[in-house]
Amino acid sequence: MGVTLTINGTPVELRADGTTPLILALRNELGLKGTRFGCGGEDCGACMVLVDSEPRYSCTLQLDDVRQKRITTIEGLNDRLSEVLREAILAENAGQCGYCLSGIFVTLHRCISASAHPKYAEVAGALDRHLCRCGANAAILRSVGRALKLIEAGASDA
Amino acid sequence: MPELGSRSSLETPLAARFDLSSPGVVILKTGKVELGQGILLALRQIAAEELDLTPDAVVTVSGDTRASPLEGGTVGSMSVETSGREVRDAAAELRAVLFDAAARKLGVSVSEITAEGGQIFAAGNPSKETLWSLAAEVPFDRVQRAAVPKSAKLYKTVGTSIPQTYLLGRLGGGAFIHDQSFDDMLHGRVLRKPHPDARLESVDADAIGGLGVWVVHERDFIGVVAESEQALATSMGRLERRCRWSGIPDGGPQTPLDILANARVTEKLLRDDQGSSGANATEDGQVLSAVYSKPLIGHGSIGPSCGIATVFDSGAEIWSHSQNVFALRDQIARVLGRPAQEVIVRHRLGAGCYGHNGADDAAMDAAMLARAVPGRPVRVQWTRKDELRCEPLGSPMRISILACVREGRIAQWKLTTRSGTHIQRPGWGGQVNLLGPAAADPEFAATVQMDLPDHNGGSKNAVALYDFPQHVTYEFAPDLPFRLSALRSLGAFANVFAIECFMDELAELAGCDPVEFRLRHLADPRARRVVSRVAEISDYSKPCDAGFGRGLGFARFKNTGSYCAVVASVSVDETVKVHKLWAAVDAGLVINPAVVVSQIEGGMLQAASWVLKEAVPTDRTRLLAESWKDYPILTFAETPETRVEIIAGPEFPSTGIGEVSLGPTAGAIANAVTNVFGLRVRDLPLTRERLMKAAFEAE
Repeated sequence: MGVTLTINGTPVELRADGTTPLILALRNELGLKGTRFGCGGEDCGACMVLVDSEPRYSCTLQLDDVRQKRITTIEGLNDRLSEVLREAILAENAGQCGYCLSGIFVTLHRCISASAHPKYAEVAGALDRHLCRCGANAAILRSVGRALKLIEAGASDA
Repeated sequence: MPELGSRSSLETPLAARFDLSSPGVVILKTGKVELGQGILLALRQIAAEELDLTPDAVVTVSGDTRASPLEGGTVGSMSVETSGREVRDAAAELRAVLFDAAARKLGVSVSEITAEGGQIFAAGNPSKETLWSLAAEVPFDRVQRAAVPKSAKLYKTVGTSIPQTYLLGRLGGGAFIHDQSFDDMLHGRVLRKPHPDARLESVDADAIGGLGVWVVHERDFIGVVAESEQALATSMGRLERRCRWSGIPDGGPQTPLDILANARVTEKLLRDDQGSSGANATEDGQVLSAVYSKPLIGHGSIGPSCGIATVFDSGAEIWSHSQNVFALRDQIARVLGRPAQEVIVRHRLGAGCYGHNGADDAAMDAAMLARAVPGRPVRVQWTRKDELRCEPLGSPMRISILACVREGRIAQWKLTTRSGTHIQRPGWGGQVNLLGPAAADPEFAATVQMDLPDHNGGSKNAVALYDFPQHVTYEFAPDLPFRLSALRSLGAFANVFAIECFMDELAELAGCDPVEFRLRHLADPRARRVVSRVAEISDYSKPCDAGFGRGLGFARFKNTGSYCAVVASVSVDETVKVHKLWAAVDAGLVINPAVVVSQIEGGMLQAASWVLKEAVPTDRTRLLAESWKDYPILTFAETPETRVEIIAGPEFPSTGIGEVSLGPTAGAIANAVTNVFGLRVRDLPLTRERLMKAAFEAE
């Protein structure tokens, strides 16, 4: 029994059953607890991770589904874009309890980095795979607008 | 030393509130807990202000039954109002004690002592003394409250939007109770009864238990403890298939509101102004009546309820995201048959909490399961289905109003509000009120449905703040067959929704603009200011664009708390789309404006979700939701823009902000819908089906 995958750039050999949900392997085997359990049914997005760069719900994926794939969790997002996103979240107070925020961050990161000129409507649209219950939605959307402006300003500086 | 965790009144000694044993840091001990609302930042700002520190020099120990003063629950938007005041008074007292010591030591008069960043200055000159060096020499078991807090005019920290940097910490692991883990931790879960009346007929427990799997069974309480979450999930699946339940009542077409309408009630007269009791159709003038309703709704916290417990020979240690660790401790001690002092409950952050949700149940589940594996921590995390089916819910409500308008003014107003209870917290009415014990032992199954007293619970905001003669009655239904307890703003949401809709209906009857009509009945200058201001910032007086409607709602929470007025801009294309929400809020002295904006916005968006979408699906008394698909909430695509303006009122005491915007938002959205749709839908939620039905009936 063993599953090989790449987590946040590091190859990992997990001694676990292939039917183990990815979210449990991340949280309990690897201690990557930024990935959060919300619903277990692909409705809320709290558990979002990147699988070969695509946002996927880690609560319904099993280890067998991600053999040999590259998994990126919130803990693996530490580049310049991540800094910009964090800055925008803080500036807009974009969150209350923050439980939904890790998954949202993962989706935003992918959506913005996937495009040379990310459009607000596209990025905001991608958030429809996520739920927030504190009603921080409007502030989170404002942080998207702010992040895109920061990126644009950064690009024109360069 | 007096017992910690015993009191929080004037008798609380400074030592129970502050710890200055680590230089550079002031530890503030509080019974209040972080629910996602930013309270700990506000309390740190208040303490830092009195001590001339920056808020990052103040750290909190929060919600620990061994270390925190007993301050009741973190409920009712009272934390800044009451605890904030106590922290301010205590910090002022601490400052006075330390400044006295500094003056003696440095040989100057106390009026010459100042502090900055913890360093003591004498007559403007820096000294070697600090708050911490002095604290080491001064006994502060002192309780006398003689010190006068700073004048608000001198505030540097209070009133500023200190950034909520803790948000970034919540992006990684470790911030939530769900992330907490111990070396030898086990995972457990209780199989919830399919209905509160259900009995466990039989179970084949032998087929489930085994190496590393414990089945815990006591009457109708049955659960599993396992070495891993994966093993637990597998075992729970097996258990579910091997349990046979009986006594589940039949379904039927009656909705919770039908059940409420036919329920036994006790009546209480809340207000009977002179001239109001004759409000009936015989008066000269124009008479109008209407009935509004709000369905059964849920908390729907985005993270599931979670609790961790270890039971030892000598007691129990519990981690919970409860709103009241002391009340939870008492009930866990009762169920475990231990003295309260042998049980420790410590608060850890859960996902957003909007009232009495499953947090206490999950902690009790963990404690009951942990008895089977003494010395080992057991972590319980509910499923989404458990959340939707088993958490306490917000009561259905029905409000009928009859009023008479004469010469453009409301001459008479008769309102009757009907509701089930809005509180069944742990310990309420002397009962445990938690699912695990109720299933395990008939002694713990008793419930007493008894609402909060007058002008709270279902009667909260049933009396309108407006100036007209009112006759207001509360019809309390004590036998509703649902598990009901506190959900954000309690009865105020439905009462304000009804009052604000009816104000618009009466304004139309009087041929008057809704804002002008409200102001005509509002003498309170603070109330007038929020209504006028929100109308200004939303361009209320200008005509709407074609296809858009605008509406306003207003309330003063509890009629004694913060003032809030909201304007909504909506369009209706079969379904209601809310485009923008504006709010003006007067919460007296504001500690952190950005936190106030977050709370007002959050309340507006949660209310928009309740108004547009939410009703717990039922088959008579059975709850049916299994996933978010069955209980949809507001999505990002449906999220309106928001704008919140705070009206400064530093001369007034701080009032809570967590619950004030929900009722006004409901009124604003419903009024905006009527403004553009032309018809009035009085039953929440304002779904496509309801609007279509109204259109069909109007034809």
